[in-house]
Amino acid sequence: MSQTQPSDVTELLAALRSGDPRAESRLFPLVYAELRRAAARMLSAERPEHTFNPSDLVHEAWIRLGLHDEGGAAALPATDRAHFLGLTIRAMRFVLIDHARRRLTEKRGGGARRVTLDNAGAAHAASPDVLLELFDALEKLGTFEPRLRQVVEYRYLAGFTEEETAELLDVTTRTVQRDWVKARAWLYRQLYAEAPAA
Amino acid sequence: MNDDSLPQRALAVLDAALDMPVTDRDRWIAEHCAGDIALEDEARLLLSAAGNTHGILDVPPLAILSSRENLSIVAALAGRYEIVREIGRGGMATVFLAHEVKHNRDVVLKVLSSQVARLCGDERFHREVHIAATLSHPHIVPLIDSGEADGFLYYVMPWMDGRSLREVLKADRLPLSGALQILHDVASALQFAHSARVIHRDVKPENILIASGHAYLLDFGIAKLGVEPTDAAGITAPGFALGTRRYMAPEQVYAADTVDARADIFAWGALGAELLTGAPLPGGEPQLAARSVFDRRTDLPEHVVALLLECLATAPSQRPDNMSSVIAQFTSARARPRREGNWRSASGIAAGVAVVVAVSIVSWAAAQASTAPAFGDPVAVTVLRNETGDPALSVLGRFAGDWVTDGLQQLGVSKTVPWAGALLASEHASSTGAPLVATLREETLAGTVVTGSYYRVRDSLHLQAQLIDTRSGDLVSRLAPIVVPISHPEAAVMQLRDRVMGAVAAAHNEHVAAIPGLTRNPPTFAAYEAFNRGMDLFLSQKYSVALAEFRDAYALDSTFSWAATWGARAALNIDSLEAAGALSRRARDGGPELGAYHDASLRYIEARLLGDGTSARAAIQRAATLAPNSRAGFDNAVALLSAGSVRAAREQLQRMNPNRGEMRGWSSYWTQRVHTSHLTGDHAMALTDAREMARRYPERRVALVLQARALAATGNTVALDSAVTAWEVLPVNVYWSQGAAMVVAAEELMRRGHNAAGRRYAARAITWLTARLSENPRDRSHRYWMGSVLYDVARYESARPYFESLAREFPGEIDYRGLAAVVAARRKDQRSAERWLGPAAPTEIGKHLVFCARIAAINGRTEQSLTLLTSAMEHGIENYPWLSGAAFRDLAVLERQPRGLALLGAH
Repeated sequence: MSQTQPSDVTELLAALRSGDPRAESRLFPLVYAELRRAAARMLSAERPEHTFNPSDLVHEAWIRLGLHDEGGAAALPATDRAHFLGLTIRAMRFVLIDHARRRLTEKRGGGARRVTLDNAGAAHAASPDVLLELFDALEKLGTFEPRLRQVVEYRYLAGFTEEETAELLDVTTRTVQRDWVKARAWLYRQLYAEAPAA
Repeated sequence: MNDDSLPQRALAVLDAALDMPVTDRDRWIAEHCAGDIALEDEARLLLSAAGNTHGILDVPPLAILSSRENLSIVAALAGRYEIVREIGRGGMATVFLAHEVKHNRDVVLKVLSSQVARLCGDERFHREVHIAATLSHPHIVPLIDSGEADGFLYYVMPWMDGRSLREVLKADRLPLSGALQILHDVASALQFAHSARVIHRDVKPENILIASGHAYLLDFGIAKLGVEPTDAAGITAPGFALGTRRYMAPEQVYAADTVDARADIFAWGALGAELLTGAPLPGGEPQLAARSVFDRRTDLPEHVVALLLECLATAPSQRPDNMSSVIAQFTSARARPRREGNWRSASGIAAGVAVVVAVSIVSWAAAQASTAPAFGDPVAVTVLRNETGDPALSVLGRFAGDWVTDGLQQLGVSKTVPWAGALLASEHASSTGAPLVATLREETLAGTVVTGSYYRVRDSLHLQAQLIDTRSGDLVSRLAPIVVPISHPEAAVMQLRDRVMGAVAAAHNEHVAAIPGLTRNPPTFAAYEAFNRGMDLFLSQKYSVALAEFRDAYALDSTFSWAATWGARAALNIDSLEAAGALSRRARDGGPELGAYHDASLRYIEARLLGDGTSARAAIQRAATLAPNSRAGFDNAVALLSAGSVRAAREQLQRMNPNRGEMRGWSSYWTQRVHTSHLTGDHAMALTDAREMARRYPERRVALVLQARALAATGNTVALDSAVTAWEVLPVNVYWSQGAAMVVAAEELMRRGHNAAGRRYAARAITWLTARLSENPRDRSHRYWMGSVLYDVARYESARPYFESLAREFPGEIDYRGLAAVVAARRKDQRSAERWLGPAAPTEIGKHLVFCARIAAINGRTEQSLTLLTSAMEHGIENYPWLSGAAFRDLAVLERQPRGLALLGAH
């Protein structure tokens, strides 16, 4: 019986590796808080012209949680890393949903204006509402194609490359590419069902 | 194969199609699907969706959330202003440094947040900006442009190279002379604006620009366009978010629309106190707080101090009348040499008097407010206390606060303290050991605070939370404890959010909050919503659908025993005795301990289910005493009425307020009021109330029947004729139809001795009902009224088929069975009478006994009839006030005896 409760991230990771199921419940709030802070910084006024890559956010959280240190995530076997990444993505989804909802509340007040920008062709298809719908659709996809869902989460929500995603999922890059095409097709069919892209 | 699997199968088709060359895919799909059109269509849609390169997955999620609005603004203003960079962002507006193309100069451009834009609307925005633009004063930053571009409302000010007073204050302490200079500049700007009838409403260091040694006031008149700024900048600048309210006059917090120049005078006083002492005013009653700060400082000019204290009076009437008199006192105070001695000796007494007045005004206002559901806005959610002993779980408390705050903001029924502010105040309290609730009250002006803690029991996480009133420190709501597996702490947070939303929503819903004790143990939000739907249906007397909603509410939250009680009540109203019994047992067994009112209400239902009228009346009377304006008050009146205590029922109803709480929107309140007036012989009042009911509830046709009865009771056949004629245009197929009005009028006329008119109305009713029945022979209510009016004119054999057919079709209805029995008694067929009447269910004993009494009276057994009637009264006769006409005819013989007269003759 262990006398001390692991509280430090590295210890928690070790506990996670040794199969302690409680480690996850402690890690989650830590990861959430870190992502939350990182997102607040990135979404604040400091760098308005910057377009953020989600992996910046995830990496920043990892750095601050000490996972890039020696003995951190790099030392974990790929399966544990994937497990931990899953945790991060769950927290990330919380953070993003939170922000999307807040955005929506502001937006609804503005009276549904739709701005199409020449320099952002995708803008009309990507708004906080669609982001929330995407999370729902992703959930649905995961019920029958769990790996497609993971591919989208790693590539889109966490911003990982095809190669990184392939390594984390222990599949070939080609499989990731194929999954990505299928997942996109399925999700776009769900999201833009009434007006399929020509 | 069912349709659910279609998306999955189509995905498999797509997967295979992707192995084909691009040009062959379409054809391949057609061949592969082999006539399964649905599958083929779906697969084609997937294939075409796969080609979409402009979907959401092509835009990083953070870009969707961050830059889109700014990009839109840049695009909307292109050509006129080039946005250089964002220099500030608040709840009200985003501020940009911009370059004005036309005049080749730098400007400050403020774009109103869409929330504020919605609150004020284009027209008001332009009006306010127009007024503000007319202000030209050396210490006011002018507006140089404003407009609307692609939905964004914006205004433009010149760029001045300076710093906000907030930044200046953060950097270093102002010398006294500098502070006095700034105060003078601001006062003169305010005086000028007030003379032009413009109130600033948001004087604070953030809105004062310091440039070249002078102070300039920003954002005139704009502040009032939106809600008070709840600034995101508060995350990095604590004084900002928390400070906003510090400068706000007390009246502005609660009645932002009616404030006058004296609100600015207050803010100026708060600003002065901060500039002179170097720190924002501490929380609490402002004048007392300022006094406690000034007390520690003997180096300040005493008349300035006295003036600032006067400006900080809670009651506007205790402040200086206008800015001119402030400036007069201020300049004379500055010019006057300092005197040694205690400045408090004279002005302190005057100020003390002012405080007493102010306090008594506040307590008076609190007493007024207590007639409405008392729930203090805004709501602040604190960091939940971590009592697990595991520091790694600390973040859960903050996560919970954040998430619950977000839920309340989305709910939108209350003002909510932004999470940044509540977090800082909570952490301030925990780091200094100050009392949490008082600190929140002081720093965020929260009226209600959500506090709580979590701890661990083996493998589960327990979370408990409550809502506290910050004024009294009283418990407002105690939330049901939340227990989740330790591996899913976020599930506890989700549940907490749901419960707090339920508590706040319930407290802000008049009908729900009016139920005594409900908000003390509030339901989850989902259960609240179902309950609220049930209440709406109950109020429109749709009891069976209401019952379903109450059941849902209870199923969603098994601690919500009020949902079970209301379900039982709805079930009782539709005679679903089994459902009523089951639900009342659940209400009794499940959930937390019931309050006294709830317990008494439930006892009433239980006693009614047992047919124990005496206990039912005792229980509901107790509940009504505990909460006179509640549903129990109404139920008590009905119980009194069914027992023949008409005057007591009338008093009960007249004590209640039909415009508030549970009685608002409840039409039956008026039905019962009319009955009590009718039964006490006050027909004028009955008519007035019946008309009031018709005005409030035009869809309730019973109001017309009540009017007809009141007119008939006074013998005013002229008014009755014209009323009945006027109703001819209304729809006919309703229970309380025109025919019903004619029957009731005929019975009332005959009872009051207007026999000719009564017979005329009976004939008119028969004609009307005959016509309806020829169109629609099965109509239940037309048959009932036809039978009744035939009975009234002693055509018993003609009435018989109507009552007997109804009794056969609806054997559960005591009224139909009883009437068939009475008709049998009229033909001296005692055996049939008994057979028709049958046994009584517990809830209908009273009515059953009345029919027995009528049969006994018809058979000439007066003594027996009297005993039966007395017993019926003891049990309580549901719908007793409708026992006019036929019943009174049958029972008329009893009025020849004193006891009978006492029972019936009052009416």
